[in-house]
Amino acid sequence: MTPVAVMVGANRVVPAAGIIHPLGNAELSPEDEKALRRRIVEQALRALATDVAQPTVFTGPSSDRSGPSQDRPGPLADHSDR
Amino acid sequence: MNQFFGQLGGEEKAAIGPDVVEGAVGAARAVQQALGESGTVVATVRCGDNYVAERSDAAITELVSLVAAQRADLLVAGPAFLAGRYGVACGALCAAVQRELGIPAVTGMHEENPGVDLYRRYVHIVRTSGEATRMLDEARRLVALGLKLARRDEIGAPDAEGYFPRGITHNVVAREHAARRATAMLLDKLAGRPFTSEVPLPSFAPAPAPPRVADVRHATIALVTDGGLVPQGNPDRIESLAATRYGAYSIAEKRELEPAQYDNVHRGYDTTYVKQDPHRLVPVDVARELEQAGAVGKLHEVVYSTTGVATTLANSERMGREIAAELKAAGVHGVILTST
Amino acid sequence: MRLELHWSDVRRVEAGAVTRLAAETLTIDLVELSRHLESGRRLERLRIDLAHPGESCRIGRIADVFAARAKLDDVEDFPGVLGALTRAGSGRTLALAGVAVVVTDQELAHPGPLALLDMSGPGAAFTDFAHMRHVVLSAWPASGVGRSDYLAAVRLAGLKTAVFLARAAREREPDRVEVFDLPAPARVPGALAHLPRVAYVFQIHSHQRPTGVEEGILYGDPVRRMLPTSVHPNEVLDGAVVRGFMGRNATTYTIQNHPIVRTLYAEHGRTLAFVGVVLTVAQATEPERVRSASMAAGMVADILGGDGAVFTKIGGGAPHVDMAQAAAACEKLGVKTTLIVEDMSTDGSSEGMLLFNFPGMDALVNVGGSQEKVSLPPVSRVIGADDLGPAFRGELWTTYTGICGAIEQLGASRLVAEVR
Repeated sequence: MTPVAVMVGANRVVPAAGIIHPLGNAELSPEDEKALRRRIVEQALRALATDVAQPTVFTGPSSDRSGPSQDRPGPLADHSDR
Repeated sequence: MNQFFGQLGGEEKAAIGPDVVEGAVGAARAVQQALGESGTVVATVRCGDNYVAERSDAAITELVSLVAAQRADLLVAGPAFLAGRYGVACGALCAAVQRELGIPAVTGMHEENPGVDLYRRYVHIVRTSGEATRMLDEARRLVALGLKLARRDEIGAPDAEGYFPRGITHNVVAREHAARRATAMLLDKLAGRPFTSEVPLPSFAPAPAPPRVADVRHATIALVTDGGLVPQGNPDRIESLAATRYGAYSIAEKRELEPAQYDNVHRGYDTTYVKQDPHRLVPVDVARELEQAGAVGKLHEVVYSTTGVATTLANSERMGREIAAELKAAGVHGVILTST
Repeated sequence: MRLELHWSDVRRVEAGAVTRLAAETLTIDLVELSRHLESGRRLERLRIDLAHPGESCRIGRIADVFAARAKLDDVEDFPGVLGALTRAGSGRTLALAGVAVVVTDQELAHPGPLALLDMSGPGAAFTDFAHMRHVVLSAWPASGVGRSDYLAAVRLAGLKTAVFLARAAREREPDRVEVFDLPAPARVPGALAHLPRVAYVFQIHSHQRPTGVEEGILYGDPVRRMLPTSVHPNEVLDGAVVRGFMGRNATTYTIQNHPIVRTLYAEHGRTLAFVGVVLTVAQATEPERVRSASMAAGMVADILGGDGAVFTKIGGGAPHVDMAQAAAACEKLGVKTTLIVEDMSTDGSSEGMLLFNFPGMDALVNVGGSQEKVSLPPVSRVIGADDLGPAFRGELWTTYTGICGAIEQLGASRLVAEVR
């Protein structure tokens, strides 16, 4: 529930894979599922290592990018100001 | 009454301690007049503004015992109008008298009195003007609500009864069903007419963003979840709804979470998939690999878990504070909180 | 699209030798009805009880409530779930007023979010269902039948009963005929051009609990991959949508008598022009939620041409957010919105009432606090909850959400949580 996280003021938010399995996906093969989980956790680590001034959603690809410097945290234009 | 409304004197008497006078004195006479045949002011309890402000809890305790001795059916405090110290004292005394003596209490203030925000939750505070120019009028409104409280009558909506909303919800039966009310509200909104939403929008105080973890490769990172993962048997009896408790579970020496050792008690989503593989909620497997690879300094050996469904704001904040304090004491630098 | 509801009033319900409706008395041949229902492998035992308004009677373990309806002219009933697939919403439908079918959940290993209904006393004041006569079906699962299969079977029994009862009115003149005739939005006559155009966005399921294979909701489809879709309001009234197995604080009966569809119909041509219904589901993942919100808003704004829309949800917290996100997308496109929400607080504090706060979400109607407790006095008779024993007959405390029909998320109930 990314919008709820932003609304209550969580500062570093990483969208995950859904309510019923945030860090997985039962429809993927075990290998692909674990790779998905790893991408989300790596994204979370990058978020922890990034300074933010307001609730920020860390979107964007992670595994297929070369490094953290390319990750641009994108504040949600609509409700980041609350 | 404070020293001024109790006719002890002005600011120069603000340090004076509590006393009790039989019957109605000072502004309490307006209360007696408003009561008419419906009741008698048995005593007036007075105290200086600064005496209370400087001693807070101890002064309130003194005042409560003076009130207790009168065996009254109702406490009327103030009204305090815009007087800040007086308003805070009235609110604190009313709250304490209700809580400790079980005697209903009512006070009155202007909306900008700091006592309103501090005590509206616990006390019926009647909305008054800023100054005591129409004392009898204001006393009548305090007394009208106070008598209802003393008689344990049903108290109506804040606007109808003239008190500041206490922020407590109560079900009543409306004149029309919700579909008609929603349609009427939409038509008002479309036409630019004023309308009143039936739900106040929540506002959350901004949480200052903690600074970044400078070097994740040498940091200790903890896993926390509100997705309801618990060891088999739910040893901490974490509630499946509206949780008041959380658990701390060791993952020392564990490379992975064994599904058979865990259960999930969250009642807000279909937990089948997480029960099949707890990593779908708490990514211990991947976090360990990252620890091995040196991408994370150390994975904290304790996972915190609760159920985040219909949890009250108060309990969420308390559990968050407690978990944060424990993590901080354990030297954790960063947290990945996984949520459904 | 034109739908006629042929209403017959029912003021008494009794068991008898022949099923028939005469002089406002519905006589039911219970043996014939049981035979009609007991054709499945999934149910082992079936019991039928009758309950009447004013009676000291408590119905427990209610899974769903159905309105007695049957199509005339050999058209299918509840297409996709009971009857063969066809389009619902036009032609003539028999409807009984004052009687409903209640099904109870007797699969005791996994009881769902169950509600009770008091036919008299203080609990009766909160719910319209207390003022109707009820044919109560209680069926027990055959051994080895799974939960979803069982719930599908009891729902089917409820729908069959609803049709069986309404057919008793086939040979008589209706007491009144109600006509639902709404032209396609593009053909709304010019005389209505000055009225604001209003749509209804109806969330019919939440995927925080994925539907079972047998859990048909829209024309028998379990809506697992459903994108926002537009239907004519008559289809909603005429059996195209039934409640899923977990829809809390909503019943199929309310969908069949949808209070928002009826209200918008009543206002059509007077204060607004009703332009149609968009069906949505609450999603379990972020991309699905965003996609659904933007498609629903686009449908309201650019396809139906709505100036305003009313929103409802089904379920708890997650559906709340989906609904608000779709409404926020509407506001962004200039469509004004009102939302019907439950007070979500579990401690009675006003800060806990809502789970969202989007720009423009300033017009909210609430259907009461579900967790507030209420005391109900003892009754002399209990239906549907034998396992709960004598305690269920005595004085008990429940929540408002525990009273069937007291809090209807679709807007049929009158409870409102006041901030005090």
